Amino acid sequence: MEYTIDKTADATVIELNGVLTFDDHERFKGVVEAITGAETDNVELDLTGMKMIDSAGIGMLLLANDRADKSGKAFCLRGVNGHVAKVVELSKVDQIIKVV
Amino acid sequence: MIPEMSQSIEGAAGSKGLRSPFARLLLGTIDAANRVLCETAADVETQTERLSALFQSLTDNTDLQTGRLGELVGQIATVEHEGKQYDLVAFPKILQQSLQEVTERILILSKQGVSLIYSLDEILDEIQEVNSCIGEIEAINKQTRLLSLNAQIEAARAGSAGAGFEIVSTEMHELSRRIDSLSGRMRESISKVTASIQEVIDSIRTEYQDLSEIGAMDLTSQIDAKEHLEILLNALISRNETIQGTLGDSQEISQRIGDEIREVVVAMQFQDRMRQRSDAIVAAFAEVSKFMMDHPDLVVDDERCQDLTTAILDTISLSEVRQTFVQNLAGEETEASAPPPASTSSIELF
Repeated sequence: MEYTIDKTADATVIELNGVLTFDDHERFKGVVEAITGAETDNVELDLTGMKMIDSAGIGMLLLANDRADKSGKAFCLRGVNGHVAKVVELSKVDQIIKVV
Repeated sequence: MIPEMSQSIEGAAGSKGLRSPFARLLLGTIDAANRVLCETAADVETQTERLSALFQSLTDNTDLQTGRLGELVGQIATVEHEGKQYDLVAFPKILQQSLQEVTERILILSKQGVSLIYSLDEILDEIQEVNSCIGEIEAINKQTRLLSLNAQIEAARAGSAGAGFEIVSTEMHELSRRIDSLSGRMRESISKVTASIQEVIDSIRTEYQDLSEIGAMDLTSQIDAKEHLEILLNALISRNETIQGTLGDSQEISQRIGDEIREVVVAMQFQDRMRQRSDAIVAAFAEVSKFMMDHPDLVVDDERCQDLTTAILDTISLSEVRQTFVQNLAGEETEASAPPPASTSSIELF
């Protein structure tokens, strides 16, 4: 998994690319820190370039959502598609995390 | 059937009392026509009764079939197990619900696993910091020990004037030794804690890798299972609706066949009316035959002809037949043509 951070006037957009599995948990810590330390109140996780995600990856998204909530950030996912969309639908994550 | 009439005609046909050959021919013709009519009426009655019985049996079987189809429609969507009825369509829904629950638990565990590793990593970072602090303490302590040693040397050079200073430097040296001992114990303890935490992290990582190897965590199998269950559920619902629709149509058709057969049976009862008509004709012919036997020379006046007309009309109870005879024999409606309130009125009412 690779990620880039882009700041706009309204939101911090973190773009994830590749696959998100348990092996990426150490790198994902940087994503979590970027979320909690964001200068904007809104943080968007763009999953357009995400090809595959496993249960640990979903667990990391839930963890990121929890940390964002504790930091007072409005957190959402966008660009959900393909395999990721199926996993999101199966796990009902869209009922916990806002998906736009 | 009017047996006495048939017998009287048979008697008349065999008589040689008639003088005119034409009269004998006429009488024979009437006699033969009557026989044929009687036999036909009896045959029709027998066959009609047989057909009615067959149709009635057909109706009963159709009703039975309709009832069984109704039961089948009610049972097609359920199965029975140990006295309980289960809805077939509900099974895939139960499986879907179970799959959903399992998936939710996996995700909770995943989230907690990652969260735990993050916490342990943070603890390891803090321990590293503590280790670093201990290193600094040990470095400071080393300096302190050197200072106390220097102080002891300088106190020895000073002789008796440095005796008090020697005591202080000795205590400082002892204090430094104790700090060394304490830092050693701390380092040993932290090393054990670090090893334990690292063991937990390695264990979680191994568990995740094992689960990934058996394909239980990438959720592909769960997605496939969910899609197959949805296909199965939709197919079951669709097939159930098709079967119920087909059975419902069959039940409706069976019901309609039963109704039509019942209508046929009712329609066939009009055979009775045909029998009444033929009996009326036979009775009229019998009167004519009797009259001819009573008047073998066939020379009769108008009064006797009127008597014969009245006698013929009196034998006919069926109003429509009577009306036909009245129009043909009397030429118009007469007093004699009025239908008599005979005991056969019940037949007339059919």
